[in-house]
Parts: sequence; C-alpha cells; structure tokens
Amino acid sequence: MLGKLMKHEFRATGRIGAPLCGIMLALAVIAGMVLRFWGGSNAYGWWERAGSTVIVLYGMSVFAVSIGIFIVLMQHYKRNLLGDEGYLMRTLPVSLHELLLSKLFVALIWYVAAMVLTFLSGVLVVFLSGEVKLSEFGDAMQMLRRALSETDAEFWIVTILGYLGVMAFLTLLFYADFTMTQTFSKHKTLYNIMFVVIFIVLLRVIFGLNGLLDASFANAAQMPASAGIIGGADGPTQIYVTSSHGSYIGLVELYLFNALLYFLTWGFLKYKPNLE
Amino acid sequence: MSNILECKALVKRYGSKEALGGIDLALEPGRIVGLLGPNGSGKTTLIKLACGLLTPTGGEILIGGEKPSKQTNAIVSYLPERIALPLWMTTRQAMDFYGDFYADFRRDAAEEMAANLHLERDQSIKTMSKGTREKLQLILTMSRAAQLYLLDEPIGGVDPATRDYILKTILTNYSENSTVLISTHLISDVEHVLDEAVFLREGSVMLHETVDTIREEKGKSVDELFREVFAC
Amino acid sequence: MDWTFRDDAPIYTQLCEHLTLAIVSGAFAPGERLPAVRELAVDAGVNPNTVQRALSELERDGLVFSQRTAGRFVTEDAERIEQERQRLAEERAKSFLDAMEKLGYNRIQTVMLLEKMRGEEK
Repeated sequence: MLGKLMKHEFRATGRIGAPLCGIMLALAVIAGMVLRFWGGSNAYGWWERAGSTVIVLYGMSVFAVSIGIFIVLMQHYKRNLLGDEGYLMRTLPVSLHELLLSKLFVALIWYVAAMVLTFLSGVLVVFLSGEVKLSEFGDAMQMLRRALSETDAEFWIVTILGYLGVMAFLTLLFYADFTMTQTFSKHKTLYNIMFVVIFIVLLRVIFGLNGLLDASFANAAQMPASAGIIGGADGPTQIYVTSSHGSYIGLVELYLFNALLYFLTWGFLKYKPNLE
Repeated sequence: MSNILECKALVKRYGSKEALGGIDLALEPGRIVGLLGPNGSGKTTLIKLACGLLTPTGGEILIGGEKPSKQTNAIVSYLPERIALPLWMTTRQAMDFYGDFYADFRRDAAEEMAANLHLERDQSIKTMSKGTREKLQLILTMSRAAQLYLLDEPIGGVDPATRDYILKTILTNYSENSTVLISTHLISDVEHVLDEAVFLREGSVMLHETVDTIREEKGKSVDELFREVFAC
Repeated sequence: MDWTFRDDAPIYTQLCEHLTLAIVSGAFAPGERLPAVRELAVDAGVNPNTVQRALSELERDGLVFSQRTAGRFVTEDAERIEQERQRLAEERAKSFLDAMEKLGYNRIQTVMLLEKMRGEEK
C-alpha cells in the first residue's frame, strides 16, 4: 500500500511541481541561447532588455522551484490529512504510518529531484551559452571525477544522510507544527509560529550545538528550499570538517529528533484527530 | 449471526462536552438502519468512531468484532457529510484512486452509474456543481461491495428528485448481507427503505426497533413517532 | 405501478395489498414471473427485506409460488385468483357501505343511488 500511496502522492504534488521544473528547464535553455547570441546583436536595446529579462526569469524560476515545491508539499499535507480530504485519506485501509511515511518519502524524493534538476539547469545554461567549450566541459568533469574518487565513501554517506536528515527535519517540523496547531480552534497562526520556534529551540538545547548539525544546516541553507526558513544560515557553505566520530553522533542526534517529530505528528493524528 | 457493528458502553467526550454518553448498540448484517436524531445528537460522532476518525473516550466500538483499524476500513464504505474527494481529480482519477485502495471496488458499476449521470470522465471535480460532486461521491461509496456502509447525511438539503436518485442508488448497489447505516434528521424521506430505526438523543440511544414493529405497535409512522419523541 | 404508502400500517402489509391488486387486476398475469426482490424494492423505493417479507406472505396465501432457481411466479390457479378478487371486492364494498352509512344512507338508499347512477351512465 505504501507504493500506491506514494504513486498518488506524486500525482497530487506533481501537478504543480512538474510544471515548475519544466518551466525552469525551458528558461534555462532560453537563457543559455540568449547568452550565446547576445554579443552579436547588442545594438538593439529591445534584444538586450529581452535577454536580461529571460535571465532574471530563469533565476526566479530556480528560486520558485525550491520554495514552490516545499510550499506545495506542505500545503498538500495540510489539505490532504487535516482538511476535508482527510475524511477520504484517513479512512483508507492503510495505517497512519503508511500515510505519513509515503508523504515524507515523496517529499524527500522531490527535494533531491529539485536539487538535481536545478544543477542540471545550471549546466544547461553554461553549456548553451557557449562560454565553455565542450572540451573544457569534459576536463571539468574529469577533474570532478578525480576529486570524487579521492574522497572517501564515508564522507559521502555522512553528507547524503546529513542532507536527507536536515530535509526530513524541515518537513517533519511543519508536519508536526500543522498537526498540533490543528487541535486548537483559535489563534492558529500564533500556535503555528510558537511550535516551530519551540522545536528549533528544543533541537538546539537538547542536542547541543554540534559541529555536524551546524554544518548540515549550512549545507541545507544552500538548498534554496530551506533558504527562507532557517534565516540564520545566510553565509556560504561551511565545508564541514568535523571528525567522522562527531559526524556520526550528530547524525544520530538529528535522526532521533526527526523520530521525535514523526511520533508527535503520528500521535496527534491518531489520538487528537481534528477534522472540522 | 454475529454483529457487524457493536457499541459497548461507548463514550465520547470533546473536552468536557459529552457527545456520546455510554451507548450500547448492535447491528446485524443485512439490514438498512436509520440513525435518526436532531442535529447535535451524536450521529456524526458515532459514525466517525466507527471508521476510526475518532477514538473512544470510554467503552468500545467493534466492526465485525474488531476495533476500527486499516483492516476494518477495508470492509467499511464511508460517505462523509462533506466532499472529501480532492477537487483536482477527474472522475476517472477518482475511480482509479478507489480501485487502487479498495479491493472490493466495482469499477464497472461505478462507470455505469457515472455514464447514467452523464459525467464526463475527464471533467475535474472542481468544475462540477455541488450536487454533482455529492452524487459522484455517493457513486464511489456505493460501488464498493462493502460489509458495512456508513452514510452520513446522504440526503441532507437535496431536492426530491435527487433524494429519490440517492435512495435508488443505495438500494440498487448495497451488497446483500451487508448493513447500511444512514444518518439523517429527515425521517419521512428515508423511512420506507429502513429495516430498523435508532433514535439518538443527546448522545443516548432512545429507541432501537424495527420499522414494522413501530408501525404495528404504535399504529404510526416512524416520522410521527420521532416528532412526538423529540417535540420541544 | 403506483406505490404509495399510508403511515398507519407496516409497509409490508401495504406492499401485500399493492401486489395482490396487481395480480387480481391482471397487471401480473397468472404464471408470470415476478421481478426480482431487489428490482421490486428499487421500483417501490422500499427495503428489500420488506419486499421479501411481503412476497413470503403472498406465497403463504397461495397467490405466488417460487421455484428455487427461476424466481417467483404468479400462481396459475385461476380459481385462487378469482377467490382473492372476490375477497377484495367484498372488502371494498363493505367499507363503501360503511362510509355511506356515516352519510346517513342505509343499504337500500345506497343501492337506489347506485341504480340511478347506472341509469344516467347509459
């Protein structure tokens, strides 16, 4: 049933997510072409204006994909489990765990897909603009591959797990927030903000300021999806340099906190359901 | 025969407000039962407890002998009071959805009913009128060969022609040996299709009797009796 | 068929009356197969169990019979149907006479009235 739930979850969220990605890729192509031909026709003012507009639009679309997909996912959660659709979803012959996990997994897949597509769109722009020659591009890939082979697997495991953990945290943070807020009939906005603040403070206080956590947040903050949410992480990425020992502890802490958020959400859905 | 729905000293409180105050009720398979009572008497609460949307404060509610769970949801077909279908879905997508999750969904029956209503298969629910949305939701609910149908106010606020359509759809499609629980405050509209009537008042069962018995013993319709019992 | 129900009697007894009337009036011919229970129920807008109960009554009265697989049929016993027609006719005549009595017409006056109306019709 988890598979079927995920299928429908993709169907529901893809209606907006997929066109967003499509628009971003299309704009990347146009922006790349514009950059390529710009030099030859800069005599025309309108061409320049149109060109810069396309490039700005592309930049905005990158932003829209990250933020947009996050908002779509959060809104979908609210409507699907806490709104009228909850009457349908929560009387299906599936467990609450299946419902919640299908949403969480689909969200994580979206984040990864958005990141990959954003990266690809950037490559498209650079490649199409003709600024980089094909041979240079090949050299860059070669260098990248060499760099990758020199990094140990552990680094990648920690990085990927850290990234997924942070994205799961952001997602679960709002799942828990929305679900708990739903049980109150008044001052919802206030509770919405309050719970988010409480969770973030809790995370910091209980688990301490661990090197990996900060690094992970900084990393995640680079992901545009989270840029608007964790306001504090505004600097460029801190390449994290914690010892692997510390990284693992940090990871375990992060995942434990995620589990706490997950079970809070689950418990409120189960015992304090409030569909009105 | 074992009961398809059973409540034992079932209590539900919302904070300090008591919605159901210790209900005992048993429904056998193969019956159409009216859950009758004025607004706020606990009808919706009882139905939500039966499909696991609420958890009891005390006592228990059993579906085919089991507490509400994903297993019982597989044999219960629930029609909520409001439109629960995602509005972006088309008729076809809604049917796909039901077909994916409910093993007892009769796709052909649903298609036939949708065709009779002249529903476009690719029309999104968003663009349908309120009445059409309600009919589609009813079609989907009744297209399941479930063992227990829980219909929350299926005829609230509809015109007589629609009411007849709804009742006809229920009668034509509910599977044999299954039980249909219809909650309503419009008794005269459903009286003829009922086997049994359950009167709810302020969270208690006032009366649970077959419609024939009520008419034979009291010499009056369930509707008349209801008006007497609930007269202000 | 007209399926209207009064409020003061069980539905199944009224359903019996409707079906009996349909049989004696020939709407359902002798030996004809009756619609399935569910079909009748949907048609009349009543509960299938109620239809089942009404048909069982009619079966006991000998107006219909069932064949295990083929369904239910109207009896082929014309005499039995005629007998039922007589019973219904007498029942209605009696209630008519009772109603006339309430208007102050005794039996003879009622008969005379009927004779007069018959003369006018011709």
